[in-house]
Amino acid sequence: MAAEATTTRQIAMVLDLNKCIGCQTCTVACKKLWNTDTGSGYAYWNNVETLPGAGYPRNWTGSGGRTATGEVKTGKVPNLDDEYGRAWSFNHEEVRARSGEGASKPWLRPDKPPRWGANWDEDRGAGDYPAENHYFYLPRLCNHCTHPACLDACPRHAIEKRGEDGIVLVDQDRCHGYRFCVEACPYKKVYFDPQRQVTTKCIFCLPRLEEGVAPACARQCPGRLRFVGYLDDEDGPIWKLVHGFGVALPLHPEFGLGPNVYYVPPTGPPRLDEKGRPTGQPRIPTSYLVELFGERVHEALGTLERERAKRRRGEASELMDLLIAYDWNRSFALDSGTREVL
Amino acid sequence: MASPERTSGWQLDRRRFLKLSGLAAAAAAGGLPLFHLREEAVAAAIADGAARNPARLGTWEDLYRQRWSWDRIARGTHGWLNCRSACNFDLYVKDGVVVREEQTANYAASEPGVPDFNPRGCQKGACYTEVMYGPGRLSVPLKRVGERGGGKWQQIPWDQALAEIAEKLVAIAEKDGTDSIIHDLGPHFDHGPTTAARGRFFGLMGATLSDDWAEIGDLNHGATLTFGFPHVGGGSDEWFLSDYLVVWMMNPAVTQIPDAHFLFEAKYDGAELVVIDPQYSATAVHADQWIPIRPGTDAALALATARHIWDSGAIDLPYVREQTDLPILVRLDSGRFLTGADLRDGGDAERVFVWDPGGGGPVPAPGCLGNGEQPRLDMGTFDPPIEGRFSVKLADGTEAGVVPVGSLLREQLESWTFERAAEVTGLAAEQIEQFAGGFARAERPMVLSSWGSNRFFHSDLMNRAKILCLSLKGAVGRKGSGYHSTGWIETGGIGFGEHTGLRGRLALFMNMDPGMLFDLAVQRVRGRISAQRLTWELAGEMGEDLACLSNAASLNLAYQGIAEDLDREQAGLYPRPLTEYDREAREKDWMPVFPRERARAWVTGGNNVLRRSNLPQRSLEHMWPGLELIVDVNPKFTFTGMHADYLLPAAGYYEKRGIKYAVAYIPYLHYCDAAVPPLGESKNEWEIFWKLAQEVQRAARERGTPVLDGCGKGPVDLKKIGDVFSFHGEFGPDDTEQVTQTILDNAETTKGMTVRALEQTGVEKYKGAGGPGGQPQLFNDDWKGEGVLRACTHFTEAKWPWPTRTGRQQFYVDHPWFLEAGEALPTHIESPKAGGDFPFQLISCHARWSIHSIWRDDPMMLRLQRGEPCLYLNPRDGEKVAIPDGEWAEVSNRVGRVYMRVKYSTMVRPGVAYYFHAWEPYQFPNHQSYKWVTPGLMNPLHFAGREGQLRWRFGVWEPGTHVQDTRVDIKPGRPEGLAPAEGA
Repeated sequence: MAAEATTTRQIAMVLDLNKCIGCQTCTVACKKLWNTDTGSGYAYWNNVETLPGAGYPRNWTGSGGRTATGEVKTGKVPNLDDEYGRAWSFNHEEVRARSGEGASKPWLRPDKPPRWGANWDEDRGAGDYPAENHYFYLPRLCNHCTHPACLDACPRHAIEKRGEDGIVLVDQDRCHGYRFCVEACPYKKVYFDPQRQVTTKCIFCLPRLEEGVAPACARQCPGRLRFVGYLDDEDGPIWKLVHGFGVALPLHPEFGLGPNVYYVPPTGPPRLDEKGRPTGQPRIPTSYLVELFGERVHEALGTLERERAKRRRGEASELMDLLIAYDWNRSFALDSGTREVL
Repeated sequence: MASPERTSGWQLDRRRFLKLSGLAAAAAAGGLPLFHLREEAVAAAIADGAARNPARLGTWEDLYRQRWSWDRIARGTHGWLNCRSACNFDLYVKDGVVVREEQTANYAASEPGVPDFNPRGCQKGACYTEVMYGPGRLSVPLKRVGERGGGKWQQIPWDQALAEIAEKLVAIAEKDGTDSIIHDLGPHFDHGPTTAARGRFFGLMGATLSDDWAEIGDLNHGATLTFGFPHVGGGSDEWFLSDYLVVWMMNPAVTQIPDAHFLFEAKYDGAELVVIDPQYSATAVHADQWIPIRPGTDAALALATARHIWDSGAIDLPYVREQTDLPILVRLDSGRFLTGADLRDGGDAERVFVWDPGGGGPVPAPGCLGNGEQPRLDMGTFDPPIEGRFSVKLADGTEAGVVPVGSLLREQLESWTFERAAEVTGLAAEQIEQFAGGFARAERPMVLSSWGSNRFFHSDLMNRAKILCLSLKGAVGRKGSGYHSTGWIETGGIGFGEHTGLRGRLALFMNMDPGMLFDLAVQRVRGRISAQRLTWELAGEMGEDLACLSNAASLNLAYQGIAEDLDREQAGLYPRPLTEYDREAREKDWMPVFPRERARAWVTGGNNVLRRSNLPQRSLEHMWPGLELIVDVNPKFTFTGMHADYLLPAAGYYEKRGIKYAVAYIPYLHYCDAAVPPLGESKNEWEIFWKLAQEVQRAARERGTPVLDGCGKGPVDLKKIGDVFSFHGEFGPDDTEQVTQTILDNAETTKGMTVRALEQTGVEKYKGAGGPGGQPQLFNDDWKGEGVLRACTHFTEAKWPWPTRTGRQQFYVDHPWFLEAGEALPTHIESPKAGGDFPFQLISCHARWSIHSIWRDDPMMLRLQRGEPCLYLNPRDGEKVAIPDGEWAEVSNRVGRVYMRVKYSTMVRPGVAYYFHAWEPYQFPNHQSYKWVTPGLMNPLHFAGREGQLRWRFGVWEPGTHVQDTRVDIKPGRPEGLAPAEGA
C-alpha cells in the first residue's frame, strides 16, 4: 500500500462518547460548511446515530471493507430513499395559501412519505424498560484510514492519502463518479453527488486545518467531546488517550482499515433486576461494545473506572483531567500557519 | 470579554499575527509548552474579523478553501429566542449575506479548577441562517384579504400598514378602553431595543400587558412558596462543584445543550450523577443512577428522602434553625402561624414566633415580615427548637397549644417510608434507599429542576418536597450545592415614561429602573419595615399600581372560553370549582385581570399564542371573532400569523442590534450585532414601534381623542404618545445603538460596557449579579464578575431574610386555602386525569430540535428528524395498540381528537406517550396539534394573594396551566386528506 509508505504524520480525532448528548451540532456545523448544494442534500459527512440502531445509511455495517488477506471487498451503494433518506422538500407556500380550505387543507410535510433519514433511529435504542433499555450516541465521520479501502478501490487513482497529515481526499477533478469507493468503504462515509457526478467525503476541514483551526465538527461541539491532533505527538491529547491510557478505540477494527478516529467507549447507569433493584451489571451490554470496538474495550472501561475512582477518593488523575477538558482550547493540538494567513 | 490576553487576540492585525506565529516557532524550538500560543494563533486566524477570501482558484482544493471564506465577521447571538442559553457566535458575512455561523468561544473559566464555558452553542444556533433565509421568513408587510385564516394576503406598503393599524388602535381605545388592547409579551424578546420598544409602546398606550410565564407552565410555584421567588441558581459551572448532582425533572442534554457538559465533567471529577425521570433521557444515559419514576410521583420520592435525611442524622440543625421555618410556631387549634395579634390586642398579625427554651416562651422570629427591628436572621444567643409542643397564653386569656413547623413536618414525613414511596413511585425500595443514602451522605447535594418541572397540576408540591431535601442538608445558598431552577441577572431598561434614566416614571420587568428603586428603597428603609415588605411594596409601586398587567391564565379563563372545560376537568379535585377560586381572587383583588370588560385587539410581538395555548379551538371559537384587530410583528410566518389581520415583518436575529436575555447559567452579557441589513422590507422592532407611535399620535390628533383613563391606573394621552415614545426626539427610529447603550448604562450589572466594544467581542462578563430589589434576582451581593456565580448568599451569608412571610425558606403555608386543601406542608397528591380516564398519559417535553416554534418547520432540522411531528411510544405499547413505527395514530380524549405519526423508542415508559413540543399546528392534519387535546389544568391555589409571598407579582406568583396530567386514548387512525399510498 503506497499510502502507508509516504504518510509521515497522521492527524486523528478522539471522541468521548461519555460526553456526547446527540445534539447534532457537529452534523449541522459540517453540513452548513460543506454540503448545502443540491447534489449533496442527502449527504452528511458527519452524522450522529443512536445505537443500537440501523444508523445512517441504514444497516451500513458489513458492506465493503477488506478480506483477511487485505483484498478490497465489493460492497453496495446504499439506496437514496431507503437507506440514506432523500433531502425532503416541504410545502410551506402551499400550506399558507390553502390554509382556509377546511378539512382538506394541506399540512406541512415532506413531499414524499419518507422511508429513512440521517437520524431516523434517534433515541430508539433497545431493551425492555426499565430494567435494561439502553442507547447511546455515536458520531461518525470518515476515519481517514491508514489502509483506506476507498483508495484501493478507485480505478481512476482519484483518491489520495496525503503524506503530511494522512488525510484521505477524493480528487474532484480526477473522479468520474464510478462509486467503487462508495461500495468499498465499510463505514459508508463516501457519498455520490448525482448533480456533479463525483463522489465526495469528509476532507477533515482541510482549509481550516491549514490555518491551525480544528475541523468544524470538533470546534463547534458544545459537548466538548472531541480532541484533534497528531497521533505521534506524545504531549498532545490524542497520543495520551489512544496510546498512553489506551481508552480511545477505533470503530470496527476488524474491518482492517486502521481507522484514525477513536472513541472513548460509553458507560451508563446499571441494569435493574426484575424487581427494579439496581444491579452491578452494565446497562449497555459489554458484548455489544466489543462488537463495535473490539476486545480492547474491556481494558478501556476498566481504566476509565479505575481513574474515576481515584477522583472520587480525591486523588489526582491525568486521564480525568484530560477528559474534563478544563481549558477547552487544549483539546486541539494542531500546527498553525502551514499556509500564510489572509 | 474573556480575558485581557484574548482581547489582544481579537485585535491582532496580520503583522502581529505573523509575529506571534514566529514566537510560537521559537517557543517550540526551545521546548516550551505550546498550547497557549496555539490558542492565540487560532483565535487570530478566525476571530480578528478581517476578510478571508482566497484569490486563487487553481485547484479543486481551492473550491473548498473558497467555501471557508468571508468578507467580514460580525459578533452575534440568538437574542430574541426564549432559549435559556446564550452563546457568542461569529457571523460570517459574504456578499451581504450571513453565509454561516460558528461559535466565537471566547469565554474564560470562572475560577481555577473549573472548566471553561467554551464553545457554547447548539445545532440550532449553528444554522439560524437557515431560518433567517428560510421558507418561514416574513419579509414584506401583509394585510389579510378575505376570511381570517383563509390564506389570502395582499402586500401593502409600511406607511399604509402602520397608518391603518394606528387608526384601529385609537378607535378601539376610545370605544372599549385602552386595556381592551392586549399585548402578549410572549417568548420572543431580548433585553435590548426590541423589548424596550414593545414595552414602552404598549405601556404608553395603556394596553393590557399579559404575562404568560405561568400560563406556559414555566413558573416554579413551589420555589416561590418556599423561597419567595421562583428563579434560583447561578452559573452552570457551579454544577461542576457538586458531589451529588440530582437532575430532577430536567433534561439538560436536550434543553440546556451548551451547559450539559458540566454534568459529565463533574462525574469525571468524582461526583455522582443521578437522573430522576420516567424517560430514559439523553441526560439519563450518562447517569450513575437512573431512577425511572412513575410520572407525577416525585413528591413521594422526595418525602421519603427527606425522612431518611432526618432519621439518619444528616440534618444540618444550625442551618435549619436559622434559614428555614422549621422553628416557627404554629397554633394547633387553627393550623395558622402564631402571630403577634394572637398574643396581645393590637399585636402585629405578620409577626411570627419561635420558642425560646431559656425564657420558656415565644419570641418574635428575626427577619419575619412583621419584624423590622431584627432585620437579619441571626438567632443571637439561643437555639430555637424545631420539635416540641408548648403552650402559650393568648390575648383573650385562653391557652393554646403551639408546635414548631418541624414537629408537623416530622409527623408528615413519618409515613413516607421507602416502602410506601416505592408503592407510589413504582420504584424498588432498594433503589430509593440507594438514592436517599447518597443524598444524606453528600457534602454538596445539588438539584437541577427545569422550568418544565412545573407542568404537573401538583408540581408545586413536588418542588417544595425536592427543596426540603436540600434545605434539611443546609445546601441552599452554599457553594457547589443547592437548587438550580434558572436564575436571572438584572439588566437595565429605558422605562416607560417621559424621561430616560433615573427620572423614569415607571420601570417594569426588563425595563426596571434601578435608580428609582434605590430612592424608594431609602424611603422605605427609613420607615423601618422588613426587607420583604419593601420588595413587595416596590413591586406595587413599579408595576401593579401603574400598568395594566394581567396574568395570561386569568385572562384566558375570562375570555378564551375554557372555563366550562376546566370546571369539568377539575371537578372534585379541590373543595370548590376553579371558577369559584377565580371569582374570590378577583373580588379580593388578589389577581389583577385585564382587560376589564372585553378583548378587542391582539398585538403580538412574535409570540405564537394559537400555537402555544391549550385548547386553541376555544380561542378560535370564542375569543378570536370578538377581536377587531390582530397584528403579528414577527420575523416568522406562524400559525398565529395565519389567523391575523396584519403581518409586520420584523428583522431577523442577525439583522438588528439586541441584548440576549440574561439567564444566570452564563454570566456574560451577549450582544447581537446587525451583521447585515434586514431582508426585504423587514425592520427592527424599535423602528416599527417608533413609527407606530408617531402614527397613533397623528391619528389621535386628527380624531381629537380625549385623554383616556387607561385601565384605571392613570391618564393616557394618545395625542402625545409619539413624542413621549421618542423621549421628545432624544431617540430617533434609527437610534438602536443609542438605545442599547442607554440600557447598558442603566444597570449596575452592565455599567461601563459599550456597544462599540461589544461589536468587537460579542460578550462581556457582568459586573455584578443585580440588586435584591429587582425582579430578576440572584441574591448575591458580593459577586462582581469574579469566580463562579452562585445564588442566595444574601440570605445564607449576609443573613438577610428570605422574601417570604416568615423571612425563611418556608415549608409551611398557612393560607386558609392551603389549609383547607391539606397542602400546608409538602405532600404527595396523585396526578388527576385531565381529559378523561384514558390509558396513556400525554407528556410534553422541550425539544432538542427547536426553541419553541423557531426551527420547528426548518427543512434542515426536519431532515434530521422524521419530517413530521411524532408521538413517542414504547415499542411494547405500540404493538399493544397495533400501530407500527411510523404509522398514524388517532389521539383522543373528551376534549378533542388529533392525528400524529408514532415513533417507537425504548426510552419511553409504558403507559406514557411523549411529544417534543412546539410544532406549529399547520404541521398536523386539520392544523390541529396535541394542544387540541390538552385541557391545561389550572391549580386554584395559585390564585391566592396578598398574604406573604402569595402575592401577585409579574413572573413570580400567578396562576398558570399544567399540561402533564393529560390522558388520551391512542388508536390506529388515519387522517383525512392522505393519499392511499401514504401509510395505514
